Amino acid sequence: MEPFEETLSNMSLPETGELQHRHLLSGQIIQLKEERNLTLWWVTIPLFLIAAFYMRSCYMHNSFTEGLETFINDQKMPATWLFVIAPALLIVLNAFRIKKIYFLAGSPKLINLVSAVWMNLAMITIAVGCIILYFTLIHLS
Amino acid sequence: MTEEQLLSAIRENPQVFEEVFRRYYTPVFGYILRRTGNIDDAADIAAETFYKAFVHIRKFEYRGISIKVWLYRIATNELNMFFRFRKKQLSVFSRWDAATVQEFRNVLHHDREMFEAELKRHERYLDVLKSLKQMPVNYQEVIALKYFESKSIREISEITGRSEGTVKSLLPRGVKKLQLLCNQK
Repeated sequence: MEPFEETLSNMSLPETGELQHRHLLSGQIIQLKEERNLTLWWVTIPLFLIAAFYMRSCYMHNSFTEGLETFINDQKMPATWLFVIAPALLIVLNAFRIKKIYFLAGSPKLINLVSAVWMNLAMITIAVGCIILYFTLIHLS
Repeated sequence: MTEEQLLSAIRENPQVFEEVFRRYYTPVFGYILRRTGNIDDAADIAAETFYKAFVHIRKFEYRGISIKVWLYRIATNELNMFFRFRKKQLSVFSRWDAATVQEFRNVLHHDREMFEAELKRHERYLDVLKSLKQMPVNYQEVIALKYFESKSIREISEITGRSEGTVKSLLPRGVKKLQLLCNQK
């Protein structure tokens, strides 16, 4: 062993004795409930728009895709935000969340991981759907 | 009670998490304190570690790594975030009311006095820690776990999520860099 390594191995270290703050901390933490960082609210906006166009197409004998296409072409900026940027952000945030849960859950088996993150996976799927829909309609027009 | 029994008891009744505090808070807090050298930072990071553990323990799967290793893993992750971004995640305190936060700070004051006296008795360690903090976090974590916590290569690998080979190669390089930094002072 190198002399410096020996110094590191043998040096005295500060120790922790009885911690008074532990009891207060444990009492407070046990009372808390989990808070979801991400909600479905951001995905519901494009979904609401899709539902609105679908309903309009049912009652006004208008094509569903035509309504969406018109919206995407007439309102370029809001459409890009709702159908591309927001869903892309959601995909990234949820992917990070899944990675974090995998780490915090002690690297579980795939099946158990899926049951723990099904909500995040659903959000990613919906977000991907929004992006695909946007680019399909852009391509068609 | 074995760790597996403890986990299933927590799943049935979250109040049993108190037992995790009783068993592991002091060693995990000690590890965080020895990495930061600061009682306030250590208390904040330890609080965040145990809060995350409490929130995620139902998802925790007992697959070879113990609860203690898992807690060290979360603590290491929190410490790395702290050293990388110079920012603490304080989601646990943001959910307390002001009176509870104040009460926590008051109780911590007693522990602070005790630790400040304790830290002063370990001058060599304080010098090494000062240099260690200047190093990249991947070196910091393996050196601290090896020489401050006396963990084996396998345990360090489990805590950091790196392979044993990577830990073995990081350690001597890290020690050399640390020696250079210590000698510069």
